[in-house]
Amino acid sequence: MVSKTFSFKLSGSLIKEDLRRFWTLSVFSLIGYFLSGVFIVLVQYNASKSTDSWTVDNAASFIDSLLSGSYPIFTILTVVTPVIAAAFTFGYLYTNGEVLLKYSQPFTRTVMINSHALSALLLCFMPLVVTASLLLILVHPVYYSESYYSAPSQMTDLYTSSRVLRWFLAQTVCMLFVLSISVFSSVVTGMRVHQIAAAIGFNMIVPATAAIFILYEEAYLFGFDAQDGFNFVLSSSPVLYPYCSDHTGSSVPANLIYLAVGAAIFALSVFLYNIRKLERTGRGVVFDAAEWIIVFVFGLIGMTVVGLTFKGVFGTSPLITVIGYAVGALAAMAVCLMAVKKQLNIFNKHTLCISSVFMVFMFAFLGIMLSGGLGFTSRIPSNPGSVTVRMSNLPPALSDSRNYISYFDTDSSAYSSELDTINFTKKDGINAVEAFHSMIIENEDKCGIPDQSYNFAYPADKSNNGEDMVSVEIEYHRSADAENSPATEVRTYSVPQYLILNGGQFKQMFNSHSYRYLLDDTIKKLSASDITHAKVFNSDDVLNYNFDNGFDIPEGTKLSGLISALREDAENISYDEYVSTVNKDAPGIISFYQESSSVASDQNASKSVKSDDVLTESSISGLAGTELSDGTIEINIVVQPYCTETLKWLSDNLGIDLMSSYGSYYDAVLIHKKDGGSVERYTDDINSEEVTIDDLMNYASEKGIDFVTDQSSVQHDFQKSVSHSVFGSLADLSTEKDDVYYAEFFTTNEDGSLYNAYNAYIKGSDIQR
Amino acid sequence: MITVSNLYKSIDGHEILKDLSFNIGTGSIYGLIGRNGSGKTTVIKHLAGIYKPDSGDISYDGAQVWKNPSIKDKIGYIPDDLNSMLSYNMLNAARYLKGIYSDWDSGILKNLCEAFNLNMNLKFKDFSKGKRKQAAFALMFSMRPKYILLDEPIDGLDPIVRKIVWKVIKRAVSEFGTSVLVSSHNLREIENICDTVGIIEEGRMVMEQKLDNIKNNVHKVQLVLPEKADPKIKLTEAGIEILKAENDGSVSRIVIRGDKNEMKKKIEALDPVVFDVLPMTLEEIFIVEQEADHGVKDILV
Repeated sequence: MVSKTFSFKLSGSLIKEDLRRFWTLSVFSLIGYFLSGVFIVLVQYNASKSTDSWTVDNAASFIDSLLSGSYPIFTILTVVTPVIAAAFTFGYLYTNGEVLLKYSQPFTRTVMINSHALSALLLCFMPLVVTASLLLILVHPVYYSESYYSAPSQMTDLYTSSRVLRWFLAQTVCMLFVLSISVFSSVVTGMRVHQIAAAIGFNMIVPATAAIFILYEEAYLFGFDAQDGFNFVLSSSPVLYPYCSDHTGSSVPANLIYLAVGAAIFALSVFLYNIRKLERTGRGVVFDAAEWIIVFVFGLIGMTVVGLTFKGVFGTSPLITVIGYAVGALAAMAVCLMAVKKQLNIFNKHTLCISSVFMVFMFAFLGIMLSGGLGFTSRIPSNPGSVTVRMSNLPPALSDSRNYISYFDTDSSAYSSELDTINFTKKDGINAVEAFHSMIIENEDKCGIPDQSYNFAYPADKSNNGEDMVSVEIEYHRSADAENSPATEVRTYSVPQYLILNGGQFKQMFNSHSYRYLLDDTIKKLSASDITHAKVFNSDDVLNYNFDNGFDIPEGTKLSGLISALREDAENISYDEYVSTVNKDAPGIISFYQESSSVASDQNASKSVKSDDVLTESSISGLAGTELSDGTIEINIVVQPYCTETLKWLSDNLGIDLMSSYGSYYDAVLIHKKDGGSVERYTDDINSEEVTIDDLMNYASEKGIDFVTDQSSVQHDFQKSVSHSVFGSLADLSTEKDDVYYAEFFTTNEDGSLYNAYNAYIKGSDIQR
Repeated sequence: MITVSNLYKSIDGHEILKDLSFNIGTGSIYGLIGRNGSGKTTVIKHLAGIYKPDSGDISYDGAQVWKNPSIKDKIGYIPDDLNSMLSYNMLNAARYLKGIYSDWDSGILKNLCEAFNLNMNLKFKDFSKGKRKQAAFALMFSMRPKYILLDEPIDGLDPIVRKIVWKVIKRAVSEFGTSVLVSSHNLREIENICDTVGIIEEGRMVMEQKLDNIKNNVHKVQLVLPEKADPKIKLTEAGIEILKAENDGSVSRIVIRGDKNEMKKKIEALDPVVFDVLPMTLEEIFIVEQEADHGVKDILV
């Protein structure tokens, strides 16, 4: 009689038996999904009708993160459930009695692994199906509140059936992927503890290994773009993929790749299961190769942790760093080998030989890193179609000329990095960027590693020696359409501001067609006929957020003259003028208001006119400005001190003198001499934020420095002050520029005390005493 | 017929089985004897299709057992280690095994459970070692196996259960031509049940014979010759192979190898004063064989 099972690839008996024995896993998993997800959705069911925007946004944020796959508790369930399911259904592999019984039964090994894997899948899948069904039943419109978005038109329904189905498919792919790795772990390990550890470890092995290599590249390869690397790390696993910074929802190609990789891992598991030696049951790992892979990964982790720690602590001593790498690797490998072999005596010729091969490989890798990654650090990609440069903490002049909305709009979306992005598509600009890039490479010793957590819209931190640092990201694209062409190579640097301002290459970039175009991009698009009204704010209004103040430009004023003045200023701005306002606030802002329909027609017109130019999404959204709740578009243009024509027009036509109030809010200034190069600051000496005039006078008298309280002199000094970067590095400034002074500006609190509000450098000849 | 040919297995560099060959005939019971660590269990794991031989063949009526479910379907195997299916009770286990073995017979299970007085609802983990073994026998017989592999089967069984177990095995052998391999280091148990015995030592088969041949070929005699003649000398002169000889006063007890009738004729020709042929147990035979240095070393408990 033929066996009931052997002729099938799956055994119904095995599957039924697994489901009968381990159904509780599905129940607990479902309880987890329900309490952490469905129940909260139920509780927040009516939140969208609430008048409290916090309640609305909180519920919307929850649904959004849940359905985008970035809800941490669901992520944990997606990993833990398949890991435990595989541990249960393949649990027979780890006790001798179970192995003997199971393998003496009439199944082929393929049938066994297929059946137990399918059982595990069903155990994981059932709670997911029920959860998805409940989420589908509960579908109702969920939006962020209007206050969440700067433009109401951006509001979209976050809780739709299609989003639930996409979530379900993504979670299914995720579970299949994790389960395939968990099954693989079950096959290669010989003990339950090792199986669970391996199932979790193998799921993280690719991201972890990639992350480690990226850490090395970040540490040793000047210009390496770690953010891009870490996105790769996250995208290497469907579990982490939703947490990618550039993740925009479920991606069909990515999910197909995950499925293919999962299928390949399962096929490998089936192959290994068929050759698995059962006599190795009870060993930590039953395949020697897998044993060594685990040992190598641990060695790599140990090497990295200890080596990079040594590098941080003893950075100046390469020998000690190398010793750190070696000690870390060997110690981690030894401990791991003891764990997988379950014995202390792991030192023999065989293990020493294999460990030596690993060490040779890793030191060869380190050698490559230390020698510049096979030319990576010195290579400038040749013949790019376009180059995108992102910079932060450049003089506000750069961003303020285009960041016309940043003063008003406190919403974070206004601080998008797009506003600091310049696409160089013409030859002159690309050549300038290449020269700029070369300059950075030549000055590697003066540069640092960019802080990846850094938001490009906010001021960057300073280097250890006090230099203002600029985060620079350079993307080389193959095609001229930088917006739609993925970067072929990306470099990120942290470059001293003085190098950028004084090197000449930035000036070359500034004078390129692309850069000049962006400077007056918005102004070119302004049309007087579309503007319903306009308002002028001085710097005092802006600094104090007095946006109810400001000067309403009377109806009937010919705005075309103002727009012409703005255009003329933008076209005539010189590089020296441009950098002269480094790190200073602008004298004023002009706000234009127009109907959204006219903006739309302007955008279309702009696109048709400038299709061959460097028009970018950011410039279009810049023109659109901020959409107000009544549908009006607000476009804000910053007026810099060098906008002479604009200032003149405002004075002549409206009687507004923006420069008269520019810096008027500073009431006193301490002007320090440089003593042998270093600057002694009052705020360094006195650990108090609030001081009195008498305190400062006594301090100035004691130190023999100037203390100016005359309003017009203080204002004059402020208008003349500049960043030290204009003069060069702090080191150069301290030894070569004797005519430069350091100014600490103070402003008055409501209670009459003073506080230090602004610091800058000033030429001796510019000081008004 | 189960055929093992030139079986070789090494585990982690240690040779466990070395060029092992033997046959288990249809309707016969083969006793595999050896000390602890001699390789008996490893042989059985190969026979059960659990281990893959490094080299050599194992076939059941010509079909390889490795990765062959159709053969495994016919094999009843009771391992020495019964720490499996501990969360099952008899009902669960029977339902599961009924689903995977084609010749499952619920009637046999019912009868044996009654005979062994097994609680059908108690989980195996709550059974004593002996009860677990009884449960294993009951389930194994219910598969109606054509081949039975028993690794140290009677450890922990009380005499009544042993009797039932052997009775069922003998019936299966006689009625259905079942081939049985019994591994043990208890020669007294093997003696009463086996047709053929193989002795394994350090992974090698050092002796393999039909039990009848062994018993017919080795004999113990009690002998007194006239005129106080030395029996060892006289018997040797008569062409009789002596394995062991000892004197108890004037009476000599001598273990002899050879055909029983021929041996009798030769001794009676010496006109002995006293001559008796005494029964020998299998254990005694192997002890003598060992002492006679036939390659069998200290295998007995």
